[in-house]
Amino acid sequence: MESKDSSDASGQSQARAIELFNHGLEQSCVVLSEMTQKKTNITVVALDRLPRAEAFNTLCGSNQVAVAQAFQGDSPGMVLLHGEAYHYLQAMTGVVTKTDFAVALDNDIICELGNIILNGILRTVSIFSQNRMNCSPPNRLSVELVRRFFSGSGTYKSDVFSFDMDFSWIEEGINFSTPLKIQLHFATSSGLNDWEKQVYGPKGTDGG
Amino acid sequence: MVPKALMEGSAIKNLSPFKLIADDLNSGLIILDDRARIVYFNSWVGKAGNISDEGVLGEHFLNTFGCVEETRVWECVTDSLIFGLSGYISSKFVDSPFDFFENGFNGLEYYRINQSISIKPLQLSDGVFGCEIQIQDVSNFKRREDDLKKASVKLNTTAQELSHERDNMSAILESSKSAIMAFRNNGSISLANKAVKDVFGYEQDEIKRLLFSDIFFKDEVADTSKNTAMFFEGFIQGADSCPVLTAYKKDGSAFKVELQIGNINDKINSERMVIARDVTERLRLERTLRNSESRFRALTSIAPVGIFYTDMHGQFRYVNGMWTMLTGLSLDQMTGKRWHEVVYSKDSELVMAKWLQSQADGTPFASEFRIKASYKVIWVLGQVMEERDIDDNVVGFVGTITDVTSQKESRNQIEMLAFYDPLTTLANRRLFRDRMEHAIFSAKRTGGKLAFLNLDLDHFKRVNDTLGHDVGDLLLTNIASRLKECVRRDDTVARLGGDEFAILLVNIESPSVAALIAEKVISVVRKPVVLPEHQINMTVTIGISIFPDDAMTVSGMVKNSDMAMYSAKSLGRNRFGFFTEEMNEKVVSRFVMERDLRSAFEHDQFFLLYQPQYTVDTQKFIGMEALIRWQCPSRGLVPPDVFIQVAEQSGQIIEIGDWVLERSCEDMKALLDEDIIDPDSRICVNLSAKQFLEPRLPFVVHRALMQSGLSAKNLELEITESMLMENLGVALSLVRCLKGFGVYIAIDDFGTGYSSLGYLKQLPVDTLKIDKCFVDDLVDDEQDKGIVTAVIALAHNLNLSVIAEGIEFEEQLAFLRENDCDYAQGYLLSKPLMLDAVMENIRQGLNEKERSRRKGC
Repeated sequence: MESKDSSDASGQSQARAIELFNHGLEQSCVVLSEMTQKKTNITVVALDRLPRAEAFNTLCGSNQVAVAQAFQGDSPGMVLLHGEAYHYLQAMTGVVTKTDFAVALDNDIICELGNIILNGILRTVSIFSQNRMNCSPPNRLSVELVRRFFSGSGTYKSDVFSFDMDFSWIEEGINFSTPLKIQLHFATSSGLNDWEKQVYGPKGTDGG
Repeated sequence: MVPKALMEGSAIKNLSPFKLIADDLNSGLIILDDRARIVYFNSWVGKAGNISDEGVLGEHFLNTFGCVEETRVWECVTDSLIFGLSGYISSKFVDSPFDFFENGFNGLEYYRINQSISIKPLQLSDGVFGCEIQIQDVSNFKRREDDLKKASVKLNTTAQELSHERDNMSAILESSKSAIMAFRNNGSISLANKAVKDVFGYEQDEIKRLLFSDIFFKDEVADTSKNTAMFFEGFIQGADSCPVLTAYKKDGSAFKVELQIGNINDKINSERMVIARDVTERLRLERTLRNSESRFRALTSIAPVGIFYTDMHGQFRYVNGMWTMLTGLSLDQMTGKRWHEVVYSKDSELVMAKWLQSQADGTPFASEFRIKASYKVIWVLGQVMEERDIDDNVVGFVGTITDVTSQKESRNQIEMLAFYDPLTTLANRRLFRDRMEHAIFSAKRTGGKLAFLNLDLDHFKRVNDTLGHDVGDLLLTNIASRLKECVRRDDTVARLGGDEFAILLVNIESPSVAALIAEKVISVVRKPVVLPEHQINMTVTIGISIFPDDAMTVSGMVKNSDMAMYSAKSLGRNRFGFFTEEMNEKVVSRFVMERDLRSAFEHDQFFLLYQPQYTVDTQKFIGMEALIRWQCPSRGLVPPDVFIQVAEQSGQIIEIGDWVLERSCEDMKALLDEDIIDPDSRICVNLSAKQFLEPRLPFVVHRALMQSGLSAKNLELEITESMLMENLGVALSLVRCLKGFGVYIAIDDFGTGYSSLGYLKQLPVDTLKIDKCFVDDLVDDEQDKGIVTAVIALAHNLNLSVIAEGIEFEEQLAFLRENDCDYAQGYLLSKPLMLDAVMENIRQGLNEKERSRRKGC
């Protein structure tokens, strides 16, 4: 009976956490809509704890764009945004291309837009954990650098907290949609565990 | 990380290594402390933003950079200060959020600097965090003016050096000595001056024993006498007046001499007078001079300054290409004219006076004046100095003119920038403050009155947000020119930053003059502003303080006018308001209350009472409303309507609100754990307006639920109509988030606001709460009956529950029952109680029911 209560409480906590992240992203959506003149919406659909190798696999798409911001503090780490490049570009800048993405994507634009989305999540992370993030500016990561982060040979070795999001926008009455992912990497496993306690409560790590 | 010393005021003034480096950056750097006060800004920012340390350091960021308040810059700054986030704003979407300008290439316009901005958190000292704003100039404008200026100075210096070199050469020539000798036809010497010793090395007597050919044609010809005769004859015929020959000294060494030859006797007994100068050195120097002059002429032909020579009467002898380019006049056209005749007529008197003065003093002439060029008048720096020969006689004048038109205009504009707002050309904050100080000083002496009008354009941010900065700038310019028309010549209109304007009225007879001007300002601002693609309707709110009635200092005047403006805003915008003593008293009283409230929290003086809520038909307990009370040692029991407003204004409401929510959830969980109430019962917690708009609210709710273990379905949050209507967008997002938790939402005091019912469709609320004011006279007042009946019907039609509060009489309850009101609370049913008492009452109720049930059995 107690176990079921615990599981219910954990499920409720996770549902509330998703609501909180979506609420935090609304400001980002307003800014993006104003900047791109397209009604933009980002919704967190699932939170998950992924083994490192699995997180790496999700990054191997052919047209991935990745923007990262590192953070310091009690539980240092990195937050990484990635998604399909051409959808992203089309949605944000109105440039339609499927050829040379590396050239076509303007680094400044990618960093700025990535920053807006990541800050929507980071604000929520900061309030949740009641810690200042002390973030670095956004950086567009190369595939090589991403591999280094995710291969297990770098500083980061713990599991990854993953946000599965739906990124949609309306253009000329047509609704476009593409998956977008944010991964929260903590330098240590204890950092990840502490974070999950904030989200799910003391018993949440089992059921999260 | 910024050195800790930077945080100390004295260290900022000193040139610390950090400051030295930062001031040398070709980009902007602003450092803010944890309260968004400016700790440091580098010289780039000072220059581009036209600000100095005074009145900026230690002040809130938005006081100086109000222009970014409604932009993502401020959003990123607050994110950085609160959460430690970094922000990056490229120039791709918004190119120039800061009012940073640079001089345009022609010196007549100012250009907004296109900016790329990076905002990063920063640890200023242990436990103190601030942020760093880096602004990169991404404009394509180059500062060519400085480069050209440097090149001009360099070339000018080179020209002067060449001139000196030529003077030196003249001095060398002057020092040469000549040998003078008389030759007979046979070549013998009849006369020699003393200089022959210097020239040829022979004593006078020695040289007289020699022949012409011994010293000039040595070893070259056999028949010296014949050749000597032919030589002299040739010159007498005029072949060459000053031949240069090789001569030989006593020691046999050869050297070059220049001869001047003339007859000194009649033709029959002719002797030749020969003046021989050792020109070996001169010839060498002449070669050098020729080379030098060749270089000089090449330089003058390409020099970016106009260069001219005149004769000793000041008439032109030479002008270079740049002179012709600047003046549009060639040397031919200048023939017969003197140099100062090209001076623009308005400046000629001054130039002549300076010219004569420099002549009298024997100093070079230098002055800035205008010259009338072919198509325009240009400003030049003219420099003229005498040219002297080897005998120090004035033989002419050499001069330069440098086009300083753009520098002159730049200087004027830099001065303008220091005291005027570049966008509107109104006085800036610095000049305005200076004028206020002077005006107050003068008014103190004369016993006059002043008025300070603090203007804030209502909802200006919407213009910037929706139409962009360019339109915003046009609007500000338009408003500025209208404001100037509202005041007298002696008054000052200023733009203090962003959409903040101010007016200083001097020597007013009474405050009514200020009111008159304020009305005029409101009226002119209200007129639609017609821009190329938009028509904009603006209004303005004005706060007024009067000297000496309201304050005796500049800062006092500013503070009081601020207070008056905020008071006017609170009454609705588009109006003006004067500062009053009551405002001041309110401030003092509020200050004391704030202090006591802080102490109250520390000393655990707050407690919660719970007022039970029941179903109207069966009077079943369905929940309770949490009500805060303050047991103040000095004031006694303070009701919430007295202290909540103060707590809201001071921000303490956040802390108090968090506590109420957490304690309520814990108490409700405890009550539920007693298993004496329905498991779906709810605890109702009121949210204040400040709390409602606080981004942390959903997290506080999440934490309160998580920590207490209370299920979201047992929590109902009460918000008022006005809170929802203040910012419907935010409210909608927030209510959706909270509803996503499973929390219930009730609208408190329903019917007292002025809101449209349309929002009820949009907001996912669960309950409407009928305000006590409609319930009080429910029995006698037909209108109240109508309103309550309508609200109940409306709620039910929208599938909402409805609860009435303030039930004190049976008749009220009966009316509600007849009209199908769902729930009720009030003194008739139960007064607010401590949690223990609530539990006890519920238990008693259960016991009575049990007894009744048994009796019934």
